[in-house]
Amino acid sequence: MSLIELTAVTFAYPGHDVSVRDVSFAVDAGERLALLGANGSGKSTLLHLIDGLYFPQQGSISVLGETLTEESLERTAFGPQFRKEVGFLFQNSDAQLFCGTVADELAFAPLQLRWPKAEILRRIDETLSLLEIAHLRDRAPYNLSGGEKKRVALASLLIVNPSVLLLDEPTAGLDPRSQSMLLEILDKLCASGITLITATHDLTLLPHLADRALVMREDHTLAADGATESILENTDLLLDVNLVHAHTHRHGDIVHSHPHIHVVAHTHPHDH
Amino acid sequence: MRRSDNPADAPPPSVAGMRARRNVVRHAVGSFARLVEELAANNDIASAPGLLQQVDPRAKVVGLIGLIVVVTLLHNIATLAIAYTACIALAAASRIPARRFARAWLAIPLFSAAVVLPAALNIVTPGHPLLTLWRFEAGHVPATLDVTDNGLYVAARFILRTAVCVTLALLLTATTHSNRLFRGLRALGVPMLFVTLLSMMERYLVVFVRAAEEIHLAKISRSITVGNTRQEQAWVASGMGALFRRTQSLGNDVHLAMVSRGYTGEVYLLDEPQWRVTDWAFLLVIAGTVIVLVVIG
Repeated sequence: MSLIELTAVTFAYPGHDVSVRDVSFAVDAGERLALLGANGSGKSTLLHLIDGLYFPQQGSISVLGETLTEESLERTAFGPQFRKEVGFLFQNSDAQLFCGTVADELAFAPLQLRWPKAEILRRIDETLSLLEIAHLRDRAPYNLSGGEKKRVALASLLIVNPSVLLLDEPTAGLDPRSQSMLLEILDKLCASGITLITATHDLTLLPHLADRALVMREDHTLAADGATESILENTDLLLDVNLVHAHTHRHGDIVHSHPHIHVVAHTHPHDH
Repeated sequence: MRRSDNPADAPPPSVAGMRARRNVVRHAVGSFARLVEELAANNDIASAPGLLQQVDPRAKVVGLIGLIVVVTLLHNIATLAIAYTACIALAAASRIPARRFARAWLAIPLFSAAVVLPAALNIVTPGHPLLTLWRFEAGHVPATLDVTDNGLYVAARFILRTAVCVTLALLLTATTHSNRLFRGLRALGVPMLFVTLLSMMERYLVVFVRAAEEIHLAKISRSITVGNTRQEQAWVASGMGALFRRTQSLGNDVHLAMVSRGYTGEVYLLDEPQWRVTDWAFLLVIAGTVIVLVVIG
């Protein structure tokens, strides 16, 4: 049985058009999966649905063997277990860092889970050391850089040892050094067996983030599901879902067009 | 006749008017930005080694707020002067830079003097006249408008009392991390939810001040001329609307982030550590001071 299963999920925010239409897929434990799609295609909404923050109008989502409903999450046994096992890294770190200090931020989830105080303090120190941010312990989140905020946000999830991490555009707005640091951390997490589901439209980072990719169309349906490499090689698909664009340029008197993929430096033959 | 909204139809604004309008908005945004800097500077002072920084915030909240209450009851001007000197000594021992207090020390006498000025006059506080400000027509009671010795005493006492209270409040806020200060309020029985709201309000105030700054800078970067008052007012209103939309959106995301990490309506905070000997010693000193002030007071 899969760790996460979506069956014919359709969802629309109240008063808005459909954001996710008839989407089905399954994720096994330890997988590295990417949700690809243009802006507004429904990637982030899918993460919100998998995290039980919204519930589909049609279809069903099951995580850890339980179907996600408001009732099931309010049940004392499954609700806290689900919140402990599934962590969600929001795209906007300011939304995620709502406490007065970094230490309080890390303590938030364990306190909600009613962990003993001594255990919480021990885990705070361990997690801060793991992410090399022990020096930020008593700092206020508003004084941190973008990269530091992202690491603190990740630490606030890792403190409870989740088995699934949902990452919404994790590298957006980060400088190259912070991006590389974050990717190293995610690599280590993956090696430890954690399941990673990343929503992104950044194809350059895709090979570092996922082994398998799901591609969302702009009409909010699922266009493809396959290995990352094969998805990246399928230029027609990427053009169709607006993840790459046709690049028109001139060589002398000849004007021609080809798909432009920003994955690696590319070459192409010019017959003139 | 209704004025046109078309900028082309608007009469050219005067240079002075343009500058004034531009300055009002810039001044408001700048003031908020300074507030953010002050918040950060406050936390720097609270992290510095100093006498009051070593005391638990709960002890400081109880002790210093207790002192403020007692000071408001003091009548002896000499006692108030001693208390004020003690406050300044405490600020020095806590290594609080004088510039942190300078604005308050300058503003307090000015504002409180403006408030208390009528009390120095014989029409409010009778007494021996020290300075005659005005002579009324014959038959008017009183015949003169004087500054009296009793009035001056009352005014001086009011100004000094205000100065001591404000300095005590500044000592509390400058030597305590805002987050720990809010938690210290728990010692006064303030509910957990209220403490959490205060903490989040401070946290997001900074975010929205930065957003307001961005909106203002974006507007400046695209402005070629300054519009008339009506157009500027419309811009300020739309800026406020944009900020409100961001507030609403971020508020929704924050709630989702809280739910995602297990929030079910109850707020829990890490407890402050146990009180130490220094905290009890601080409270004992404060209690002793209160007794002395009340006795001589």
